[in-house]
Amino acid sequence: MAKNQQALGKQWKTWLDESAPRLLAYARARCNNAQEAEDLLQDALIKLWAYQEEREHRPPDLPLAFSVMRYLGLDHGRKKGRQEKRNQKIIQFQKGEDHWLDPTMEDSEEAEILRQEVESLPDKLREVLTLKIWGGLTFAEIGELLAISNNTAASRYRYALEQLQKKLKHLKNSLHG
Amino acid sequence: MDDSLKKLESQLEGLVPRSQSESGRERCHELIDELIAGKPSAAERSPIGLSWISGAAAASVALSLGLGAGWYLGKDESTPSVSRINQVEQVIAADFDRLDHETWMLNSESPGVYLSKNGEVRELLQETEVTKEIVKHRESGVIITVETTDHHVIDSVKTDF
Repeated sequence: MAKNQQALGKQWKTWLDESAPRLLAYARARCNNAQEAEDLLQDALIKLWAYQEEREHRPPDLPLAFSVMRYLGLDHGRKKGRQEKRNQKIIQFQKGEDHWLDPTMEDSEEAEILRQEVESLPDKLREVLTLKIWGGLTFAEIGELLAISNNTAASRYRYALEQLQKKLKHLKNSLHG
Repeated sequence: MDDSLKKLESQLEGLVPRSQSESGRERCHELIDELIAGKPSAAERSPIGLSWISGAAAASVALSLGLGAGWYLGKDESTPSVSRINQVEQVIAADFDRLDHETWMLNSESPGVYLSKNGEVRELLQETEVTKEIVKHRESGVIITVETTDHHVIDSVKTDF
């Protein structure tokens, strides 16, 4: 019994280590700072543990984990007050710190610009982009998660890419004449 | 998707999401140990004090409609999934057939320019996402066009003058 518990604990911890950066990147869109996103992840763990009871408490699939993070985030956002959140988010961007994509991993000016521009995308576009690129979900899974059609998910994704491309081009032209 | 967008996609994949902090990771590992050991305090603990299932507006809608969203009412004991979580929206949507659906973005309005605290000149742009759905109410056969608009605020550094 104790051996089984130990093995299960190891499975969950491995799952968490692999999934946490993706889930945190998604949570950051709905939280004011890294600490709140980590709290949200902790809360999601509790919910996911309860959900997985009928699956012998196996670690969950990523789409279910994102879904729980989303609903917890919505609830969290409602409680905090949307206006307050928006104001703080703008201040956070102005400070140019506390990013949710790791700046230490970047090795080029373009990557730095790209990270900043991703963080300033509109919420809905960034949400789909995050789920697709870093969450590894399909458009069908994103559609199901956000309760939108696959086509809407795909068009938001494409629009996010186009908007980033436009901004990058514009910035490069300005920087390099 | 053209090559330049595919290249951008690859660049984005190269950006790495920030990892959990060491303290956050430790807290989560402790929590996992407590959950596995069946400590009741672990299941009750909520760092941000959420009660999302009972408090969710969506759940209230389902209950007030009396349409038997089994999972929320505890009638269905099977395993929750993404689709279960979205069940409330599906219950409402179940009365309608979607005939057509379209989404498009409207161009930005004139940006508002301001000076930030750290001396950057920034601009606030407004973009509008319009979604148009044509649905048919199954029982009455009435066709309804639902148009929703979402306004996105983009805050970015102004680079051209």
